[in-house]
Amino acid sequence: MRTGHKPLLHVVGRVGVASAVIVSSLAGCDLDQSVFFQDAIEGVPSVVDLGEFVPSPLPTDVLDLDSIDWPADADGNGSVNQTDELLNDELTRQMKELATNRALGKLRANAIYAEVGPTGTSAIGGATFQFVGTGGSVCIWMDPELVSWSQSVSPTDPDQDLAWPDNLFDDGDIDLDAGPAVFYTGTPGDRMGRFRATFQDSLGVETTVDLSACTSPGKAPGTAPDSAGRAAPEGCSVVDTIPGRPYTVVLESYSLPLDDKRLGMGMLITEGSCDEFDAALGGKATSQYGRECIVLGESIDPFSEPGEAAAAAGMPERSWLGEERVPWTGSVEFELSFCHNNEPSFSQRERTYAYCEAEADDVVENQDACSWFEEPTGDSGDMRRCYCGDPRQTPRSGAF
Amino acid sequence: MKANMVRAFGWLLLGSTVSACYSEGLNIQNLRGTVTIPRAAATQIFRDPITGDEREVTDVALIGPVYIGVYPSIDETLADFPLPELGPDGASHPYTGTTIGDFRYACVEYFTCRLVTGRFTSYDGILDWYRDVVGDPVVDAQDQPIQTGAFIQQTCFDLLEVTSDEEIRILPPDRNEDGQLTAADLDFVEDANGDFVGEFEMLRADFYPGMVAWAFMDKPSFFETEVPPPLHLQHEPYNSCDAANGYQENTYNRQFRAGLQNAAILNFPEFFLEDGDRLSGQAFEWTDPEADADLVLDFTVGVDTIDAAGAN
Repeated sequence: MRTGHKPLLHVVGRVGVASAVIVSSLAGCDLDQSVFFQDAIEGVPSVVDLGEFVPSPLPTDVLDLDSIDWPADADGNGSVNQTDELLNDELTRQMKELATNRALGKLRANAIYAEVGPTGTSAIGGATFQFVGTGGSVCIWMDPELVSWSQSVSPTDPDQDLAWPDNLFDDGDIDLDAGPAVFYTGTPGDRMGRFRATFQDSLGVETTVDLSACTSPGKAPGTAPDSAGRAAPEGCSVVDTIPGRPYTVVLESYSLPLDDKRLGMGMLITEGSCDEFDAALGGKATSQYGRECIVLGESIDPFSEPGEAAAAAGMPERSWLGEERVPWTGSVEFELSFCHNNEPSFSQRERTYAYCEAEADDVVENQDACSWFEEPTGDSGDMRRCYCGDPRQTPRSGAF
Repeated sequence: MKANMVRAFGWLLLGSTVSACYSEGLNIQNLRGTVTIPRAAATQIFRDPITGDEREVTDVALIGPVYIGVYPSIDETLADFPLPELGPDGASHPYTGTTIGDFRYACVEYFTCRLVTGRFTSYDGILDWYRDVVGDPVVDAQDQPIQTGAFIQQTCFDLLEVTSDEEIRILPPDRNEDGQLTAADLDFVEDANGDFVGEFEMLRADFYPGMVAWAFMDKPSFFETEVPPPLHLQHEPYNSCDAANGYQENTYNRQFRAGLQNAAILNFPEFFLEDGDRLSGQAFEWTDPEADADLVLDFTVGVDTIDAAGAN
């Protein structure tokens, strides 16, 4: 009787094995979620290490202005009155603007540019670079492509500069972090990580701690650094670096542009804290709009050649140094128009709304079409790169 | 066939039993204890800024929020006062912690970061304290002095959409269940020595034998101001309170945050300790989770020294 069960067990066993194989296959299919992620782009790295950089000295052009004593009798007419005061204020403003531009020029010459693309998987992408501790503080400033704003639609108190919609499909977001290289859990150029370490307290209890040294200005102790959000620049200080100690800067791709999936970014690394960086630029780093113009031209032309100076410095493909990067045509002017918003010294015609209006007129005049949702192929034609959004999408009163 | 089924069921049962016995090695305990505030720490000399008259007041209202943290050890080398040991990131990494007294939403902006729960037995008592003892009457949203405690209660009912004091949670519960709120129901109750003792519990806490409980009190402080005239004293917002957080009120002319304990209070206590604050000179070492911790806040920051106080 017992032997009579063998064929049945055999059948059950085979069915079981077959089921296991089918279930495993299905489970395998289920784990492949690549459909939800942007495909990797050939020639555009998803995780890249840019190498090692030396922090640039901070230009003193703006700070040197403090030592200038303007003559009380500015117009030289022999008497001191309100006109002299106004004249001195205007002179100071103009001198400060000139000095800021000089300082920016010096910093931009040392800007680092790079482009990253999707990983094609759930893995986080981004870029890293290193610097060696100087003994003082170091500021890292990073500006991802390009600029973004919420359209002002208030019927009662509109912000005219921002009344045109942004093209939300061509911007990305990078989150900045930095810390001692020894605590970095990623592999530069291969896998992104964080600054984490596990330690044992005096009772032998293991605790994992975040050893990021990236300090956003004004943050309370124990709180995470700020992230600036879509397309907005952000900076952080590595305070009191240890001389000779290697540090890693992490630029994590939080989101890539939806149109072409490749994100350009520009970085600066300078001596001194980010508060000093801000002072050296006349407060530009804390200016709501002006900070977008510290680094310019980070939206890099995808058809441009790799940077020669970057290659000579041993940097990987799709990276550039200083002015050798080639921005998308018109992108720098677009950034500048954004920086002029709410600035009394710039007219309405130099601001974002005017730029967008002119762009829309140009599209109509040349019978082009904006490629808002798709990858742009150039600065004209049916798939033209447009920096501003479609005004027909402006919400109306009562609409959801 | 039947025998096979019985055997299979047996294995299943055994498997279930074994899995139920699996230990994750977690030692989770309910911890309890007391904090004693020496009488001197609940005593303040109030000086009338105009007449110069002085009067000494001892009251539970002078006991600020008390923070209790449980740490691996206490380090006497970090500052002029004992502090929890630090991890490599400069944080203390407490195993658990709690407070005796909270910053809660007290329904008028005047109280933001100034009012601690469990210190008063009635709303009228709160008004009396600020008007008669501090000399700074509590004002409403129109900057008019509030005349009756019922106004605070009704404002809370209205704004919080609640119907009982237990839901507002500014006043203590009727702990001794005698049907009335008295000094015996407050968070801190005067003992036979004239000191004030408060109880705490930390439920479902990780327990590591040898860990220590340590506590400190953010002592209330007062400053002179002429806003509004005449010159008078005013309660300074507590240093450990984050005025930019907590319950948000945004109705008509009431636009403010109620304040909340700073999120980093137990990880970075040194950032919140000021001269005059009290802390436990002797930490309590917890070897038996059933034992009640007893902490005495006998060390005054800025006054006592580690050697003189004989801190552990």
